[in-house]
Amino acid sequence: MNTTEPDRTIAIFDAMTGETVVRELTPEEMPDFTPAFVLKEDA
Amino acid sequence: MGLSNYLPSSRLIQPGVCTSSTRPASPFEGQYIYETDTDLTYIYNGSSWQQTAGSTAVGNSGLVYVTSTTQTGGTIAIDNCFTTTYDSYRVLITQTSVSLTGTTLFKFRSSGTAISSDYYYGGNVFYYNTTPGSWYTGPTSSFVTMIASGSVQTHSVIDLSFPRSANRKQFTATSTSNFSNYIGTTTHGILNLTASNYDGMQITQDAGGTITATITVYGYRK
Repeated sequence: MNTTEPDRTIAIFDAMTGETVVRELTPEEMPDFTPAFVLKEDA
Repeated sequence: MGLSNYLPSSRLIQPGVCTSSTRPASPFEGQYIYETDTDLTYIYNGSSWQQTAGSTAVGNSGLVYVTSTTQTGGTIAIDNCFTTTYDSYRVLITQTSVSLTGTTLFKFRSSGTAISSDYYYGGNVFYYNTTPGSWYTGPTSSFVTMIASGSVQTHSVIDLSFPRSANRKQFTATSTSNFSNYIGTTTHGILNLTASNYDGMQITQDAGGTITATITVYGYRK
């Protein structure tokens, strides 16, 4: 995926059952997609 | 009395006792051996010999494998990996690719839900060719890995104490990465100010990229 759109999928692995569920994040689960550290230009 | 009371050990058949060069040629699954030259014990799992213990008892030392998974997604979560079996855990996160440039963040989970009300503090970052800096982390996530982009691999080690107790959670996280001229490491000592009962964790990239990562969890044997 080469896009600037945030990836809203979540892959949840259950260590007890060994099963993985992939679904969309709910609005309540959505992170604040704000880069916390901004890259400087390469030297 | 057994035969060993009458015969020297050299005259007895000693099943399971061999050396590292005289292991059974046609082992069966479940077969157990002790090597006299290495003082190591092994069990045959049907395809190879697996070491079970060293010359000293395992006792209460060492890390115990809990679980491992490789996943791809905007968020990668593991539930039910922290139990009351262990007080402390070590988590290894190897991120092998990400679709956007950004920093990977960590959150605890409880009963299948990410905890977004926690506070995480701390961190230093050291880059080659840039000025070392420090991070104050926000209230809802904490840094665990360096900046990465594309197929740059980052590796993080988290030592985590008491995720399942009412104590405040404390953990240290160290990471390395190599991206452009940002070659460096991070070290975080993080205190989580709430006292919830956590059974899982998740990682998300702050830029919203798709992550592919392997997460492995070990428990510190009590």
